Amino acid sequence: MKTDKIRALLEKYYAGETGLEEEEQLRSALKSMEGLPQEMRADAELLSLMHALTSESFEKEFDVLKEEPKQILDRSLKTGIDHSWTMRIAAGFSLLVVGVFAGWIIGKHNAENRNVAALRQDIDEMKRMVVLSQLKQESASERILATYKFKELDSANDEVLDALIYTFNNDVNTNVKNAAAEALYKFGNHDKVRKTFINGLSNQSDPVLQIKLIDMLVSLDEKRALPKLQEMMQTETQLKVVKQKAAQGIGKLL
Amino acid sequence: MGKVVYIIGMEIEAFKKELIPIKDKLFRLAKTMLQNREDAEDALQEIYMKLWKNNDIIEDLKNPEAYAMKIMKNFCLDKLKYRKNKRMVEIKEPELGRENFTPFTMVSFDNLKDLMLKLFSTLPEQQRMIIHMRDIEHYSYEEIEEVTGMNVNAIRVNLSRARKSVKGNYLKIRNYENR
Repeated sequence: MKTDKIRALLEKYYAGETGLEEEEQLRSALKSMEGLPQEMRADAELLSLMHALTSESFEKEFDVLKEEPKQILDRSLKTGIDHSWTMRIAAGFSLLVVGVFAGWIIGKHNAENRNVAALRQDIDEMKRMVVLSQLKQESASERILATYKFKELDSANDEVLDALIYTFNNDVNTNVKNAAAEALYKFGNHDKVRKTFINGLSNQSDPVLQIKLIDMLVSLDEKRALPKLQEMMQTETQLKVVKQKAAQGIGKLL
Repeated sequence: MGKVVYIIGMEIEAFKKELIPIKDKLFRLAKTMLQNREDAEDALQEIYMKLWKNNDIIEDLKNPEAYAMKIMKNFCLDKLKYRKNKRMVEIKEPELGRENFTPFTMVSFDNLKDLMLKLFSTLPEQQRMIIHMRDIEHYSYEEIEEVTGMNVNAIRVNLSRARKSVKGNYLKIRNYENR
């Protein structure tokens, strides 16, 4: 390319008026310093320096891809202020109290020769008390852990169900809602749980949760979910994958 | 749960296909904006976590790259604002020409990168972002418009100012060395 043309292109370049093609021509013309007028050497060096940066890459491994999908969801919860020390102390203390109390009850009950079933019910009740208080924690991961602990219970009273239903309906974190849904599923024989799931089909907007609810309702053979499932299929804004899942659910429930 | 994990598995495929190939571009933008490799690496990890959380919309996007660049741009601007508020960095004009840069004899790629970072560091954030997207990533004006939300005329004006400033600073370094 002739020097005059390069000079004209450089003027356009510094005025922000060159197109991508012209800039490529300019880089290519300035590649060789040979025969290049002195005043253009700085431009040639600069363009070549910037072009060299195009090859810089990120070589580390991504945290997000090192883990399994489930772990990624769990990890994504670990944000914000770390309350771990205070939480650990509180949890440790709770466990100690539960342990001592349970030991005392066990001793007392043994002494009184009460049956094992009654003892278990008492321990479950204590677990409920501890876990119910944990559901109010600030950290999402603590709330998830609390909901998972409900799965260890053999039965649930109204207080437990109401707490889980409240968490399912109102928690700001989708992963906590998911965990609450899983815990509630264990008590799917209660009508209020089934109704919560049915209402969840229209109230919950997270597609993963919606799909989980459909699976659970189908598995509970809950035919009252049919109108809501049909509604989901007809909602234009609904994701395709959720619509397909709703259609499959209808097929299985009919 | 099996079925839910299967769906997430499908999303990971879309995520890998659409977003992993642009990791270097996102990294370079973060490095230019934040002026620091470690911060850029952290930013990238953060952004990919954010993108993963919004993964359900990736498949529906017309231009996932522009979306990701936009998120990175916003993240970097927030980070810079935070730094300024916390007075974590000294905001002063870098003293160009006093570094040990020797452009003509430089063989180390790291030195080249440091030199460019230094040249860009004197630019206002908008100009730094625009010259990076144009002269390093070779984005079209329309693509820059999509990421920055600025109109083409404003982009051209900022680009012109940025190019002139970078050249001015580069000449300072050059002249210092030739003295």
